[in-house]
Amino acid sequence: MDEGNLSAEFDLAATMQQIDLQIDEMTKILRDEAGHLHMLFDRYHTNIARSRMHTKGPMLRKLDEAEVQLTDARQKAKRLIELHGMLVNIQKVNQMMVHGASDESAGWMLKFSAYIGAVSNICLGQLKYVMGEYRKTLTSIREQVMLLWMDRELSAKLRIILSINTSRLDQFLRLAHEVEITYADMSLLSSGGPETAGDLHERIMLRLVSNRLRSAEELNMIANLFPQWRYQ
Amino acid sequence: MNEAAHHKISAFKANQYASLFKSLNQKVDLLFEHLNNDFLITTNKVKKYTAMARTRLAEARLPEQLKLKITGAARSFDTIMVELQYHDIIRQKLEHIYTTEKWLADEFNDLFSNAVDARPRMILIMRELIELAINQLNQLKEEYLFAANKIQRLLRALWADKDVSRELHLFLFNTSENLRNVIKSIDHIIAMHRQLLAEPWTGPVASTDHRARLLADVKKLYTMESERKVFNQTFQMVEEEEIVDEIFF
Repeated sequence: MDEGNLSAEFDLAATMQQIDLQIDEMTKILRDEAGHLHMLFDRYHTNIARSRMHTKGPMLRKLDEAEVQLTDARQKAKRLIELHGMLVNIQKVNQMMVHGASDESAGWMLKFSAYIGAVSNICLGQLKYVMGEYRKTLTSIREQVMLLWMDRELSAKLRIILSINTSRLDQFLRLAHEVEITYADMSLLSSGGPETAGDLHERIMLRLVSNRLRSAEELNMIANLFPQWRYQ
Repeated sequence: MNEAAHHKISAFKANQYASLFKSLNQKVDLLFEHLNNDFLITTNKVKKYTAMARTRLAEARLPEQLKLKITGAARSFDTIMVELQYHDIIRQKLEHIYTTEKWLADEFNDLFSNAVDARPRMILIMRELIELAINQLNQLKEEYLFAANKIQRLLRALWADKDVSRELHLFLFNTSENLRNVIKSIDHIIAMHRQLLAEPWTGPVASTDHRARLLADVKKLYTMESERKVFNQTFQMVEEEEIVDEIFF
């Protein structure tokens, strides 16, 4: 067993395909979660409208306040679609790497395989960011719903369920963990990093990656990992 | 999240290393599984043969010579069961490796998510811990091969005796696939550690005194003499002599 050569058995295309399949599942989870939350808040809004018809006094004000909170929570749930987009962008970066590495003579001017480590690190950062944001979004929504639920009279009228189902999040995190491990292993395969970001070829690579990770948040993550790099 | 001057570890490295140590621990988990499979397969077979031996020995009309052979076989099975406990020792050693890698994963994770407040501790002796892990894994591999080969020799000797293998329906079961999985796993984990050691490290390192204190803390994990031996050899230390002060009344 050649214990020294980690890159000997590495197949970029197959590895990226595996990651892409896992990301596909993760994006589906985010879509399902967003859909589920949307339905939930629709139901609560319907219950508010129904309750308003035969409510007076202080309860009416509570219903108004609940509507504001639930609208805000529904707005937060849209975050999941943004995160879905970020995962799709990671897949675009993967495709770029596979395409570039498979045809390195096609006038790209740089050797993609030499940057697997650096690019994997970027994707790793993005992935962790998405994981954190998904968790944060659900927690925030749960807290808002809990405040409404604690008012027993209000929650009876709106039929508020306290628990926000975390099984999708758990499944997402399990998949994300596997993808994280794969990117981490890939990050060992080549050198490169902020110390060499002055290198022309690495700047070209960062440009190519940034073209696919275009949102302010995504570019911010790249800038965090490569402080000397700025997308222009 | 940008690098903070007080620890000088870039977000790039913190991000990468947090996940790398997590990846190493995931591979240690897989190694646990392979070891467990190996242990279960051999244990179950040996238990079956032991039960067969006991049943035969309980028969009244067993010829004396055969009785002696089967008694000998039963003793060999007992020896094998004792030898199999090496799995438990290897598991404990792996758990200690897992612990140190987890410390590093957690610290790098803290650094990546909260660079300003994070205070690296074990990271300051990261390279020492990687070197130690390589030596521990190499020792573990030797111990495993030694014990696995010993068990195989005992089984082969029993199987080679036609009377014993016929009476106990002893088939020489093939554990080479398990062995290959375990060795391949260990080799891969060692290779990753070597690669990590080969990476340039521009982060902070502990001063001599601080290093000594941190290593002393790490050494507390190692309750087995063989572990402490590897630790001492890695850092060229000697084992402290136990001073026994007995007061006789």
